[in-house]
Amino acid sequence: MKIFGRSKTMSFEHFLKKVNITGITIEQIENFLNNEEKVKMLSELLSERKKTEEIDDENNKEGDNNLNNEKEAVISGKTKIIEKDIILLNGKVNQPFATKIELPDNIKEGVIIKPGNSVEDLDYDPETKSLKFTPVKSGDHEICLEYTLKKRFKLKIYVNDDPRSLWKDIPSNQTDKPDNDSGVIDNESFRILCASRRGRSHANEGKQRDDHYLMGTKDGWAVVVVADGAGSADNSALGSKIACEVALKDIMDKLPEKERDFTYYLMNNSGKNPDSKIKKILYDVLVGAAHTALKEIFSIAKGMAIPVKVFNTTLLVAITKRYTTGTFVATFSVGDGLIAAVGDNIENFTGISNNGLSAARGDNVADLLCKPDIGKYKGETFFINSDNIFSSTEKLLKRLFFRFYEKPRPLVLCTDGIIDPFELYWDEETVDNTAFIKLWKEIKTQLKDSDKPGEKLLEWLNFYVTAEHDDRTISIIEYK
Amino acid sequence: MKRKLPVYILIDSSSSMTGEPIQAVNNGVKLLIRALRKNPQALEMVSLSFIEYNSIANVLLPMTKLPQVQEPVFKAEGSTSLGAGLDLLADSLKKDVVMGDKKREEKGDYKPLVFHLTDGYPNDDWENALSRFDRRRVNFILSCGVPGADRSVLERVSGSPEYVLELESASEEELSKFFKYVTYTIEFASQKIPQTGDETIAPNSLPSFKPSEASKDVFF
Repeated sequence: MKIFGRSKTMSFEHFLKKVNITGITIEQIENFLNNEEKVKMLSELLSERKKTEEIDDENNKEGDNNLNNEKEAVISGKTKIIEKDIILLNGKVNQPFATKIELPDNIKEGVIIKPGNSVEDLDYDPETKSLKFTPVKSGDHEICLEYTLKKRFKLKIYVNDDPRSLWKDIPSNQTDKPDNDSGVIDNESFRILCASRRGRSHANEGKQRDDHYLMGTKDGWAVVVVADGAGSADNSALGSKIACEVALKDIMDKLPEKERDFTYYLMNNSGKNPDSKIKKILYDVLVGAAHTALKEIFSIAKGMAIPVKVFNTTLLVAITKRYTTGTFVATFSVGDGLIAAVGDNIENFTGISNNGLSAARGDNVADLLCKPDIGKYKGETFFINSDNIFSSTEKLLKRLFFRFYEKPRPLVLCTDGIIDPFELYWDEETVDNTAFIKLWKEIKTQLKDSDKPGEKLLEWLNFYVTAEHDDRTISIIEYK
Repeated sequence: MKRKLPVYILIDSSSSMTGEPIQAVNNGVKLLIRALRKNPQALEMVSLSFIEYNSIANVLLPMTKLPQVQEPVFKAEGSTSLGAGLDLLADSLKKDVVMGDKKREEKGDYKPLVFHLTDGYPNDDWENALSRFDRRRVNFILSCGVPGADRSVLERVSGSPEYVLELESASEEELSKFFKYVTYTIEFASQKIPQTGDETIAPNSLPSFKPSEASKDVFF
């Protein structure tokens, strides 16, 4: 009888189901069952089934790596069908998944899918052979796709967690500083905003924030220092703090005595051509402050009998004062942080080139006031105690920048925790225009009409960018 | 552009690893991948590549982002061509790793980590391959030996005794320790970038300011 033609194995229950499809009546079956021929047919069927079992056992012996094997699966009691494993690409929780499942013999109907409770929105279109679903649980899952009564595919998929759901927020012991901090100085000359947020990678481990900032104003001067402790250094949270505290104090102490020199220089030179006198002043004040900070770190390390490198930190320093003739800005930096002055063309800037960088200085929305130290690999930078930093005057002078602007420009200082997610790349003296505009606009939007700008800025620093989970610190100096 | 932390696992799959050792490697690899998958930092940053060497060297899994990784399976057979393994690793490093573009100042990938496991003395021209290998392209090579491996070979491959581990046997238990160590190191590296070569000297005084030097520089 041809009904058994193509099948190798078939249980009686399946046989009954099958006959309904092919149009043969139960009566005909019962008649058949009473027939002696049937006994013979069944024996033949049984021996065929046995042969198949042997073949499958042989195949299964080859090893667990033979994943696309067809094998028999017992589904209920004695019922057996042919099953084939298909390994799908990995999925992700709540991310729609699509794949193509090729059915043999051009089967287009009668496909039964058993998804279990790990996926939703399951849909299979036999015409396009497209299978779609959305996994809702992470881990290893199986979807059974039965395409005839006797064959099915076992689709195996590993579903990744959404990384966002895995982050923990464990407070640190906050020995050296609070995990998050912000502050505002608002007086007749300036509004200075600072915010520093512990990154998710530290929060996940209950570690301290490595970034630090300090700000101060005195006699019309604004001073901001920002430091980023090295991730690889055990005490860098303390290192960045010491660097900021010592540098700020040193600058505040020296500025009054230098005031006459500054004023004399600015009156006589109008800030157009630097001369060695102003550089000498800045060298004493800014580089001197960084050096004093370094000496203090050495002294503390010696006192604690631990190596200096556990305090590794970068350092950004900016000082500024507005005079009647213009606004003076000077900076010194070591490491991969950024200091920039925002141009007044930023609101109306249209000249953005393909890659966001432009050749002429006049086209820039931000004047780069530092040269960040970066290596060939991400995260590589120098620290204030790296041995090449204080080795020569020439090298140190390259880290010193100053300007005399006709009109005051907002100043931005930030650590690489902000540079990287915004891709604030630079080229010689300019920061990527497109990226900088995006950053500035986001900040302005956040701060609009806010009566607690420091806190708002700190809250904003919690934004999520894949793979960018470093501490984030930003300072904005604006003139009244 | 999101940069990755590339991790290479270099495994000696020579015939001496047949049986429990290679089975333990396969189980260890599963453990490693499963553990990393639960770490959000690793899921977003880490890319893995598995390279095996026996009579020849072969990339069992090319550099793949962790969410897309499907566990590779090692089989043991053949001799111990460490040299071929190192050459293949060197080629892979050149192909897989993005380095910072000095001109555009775009940041590169994190410096790659390499974990190496062997159970025997290499029998190809490994010393030449090692001399050709550019160590500056990796953060470190951590070599792990099971009995049969030669400690001096491991130290030379790693470049330092600090980066050599020795297991007491090639058992399931011992090898799972190695893979736990690998997992821990990768997780650690993905939150704290290991820095090398940070020498420090005591700062006596600031180098003195010479007006002649200052006038050489132009800031504008």
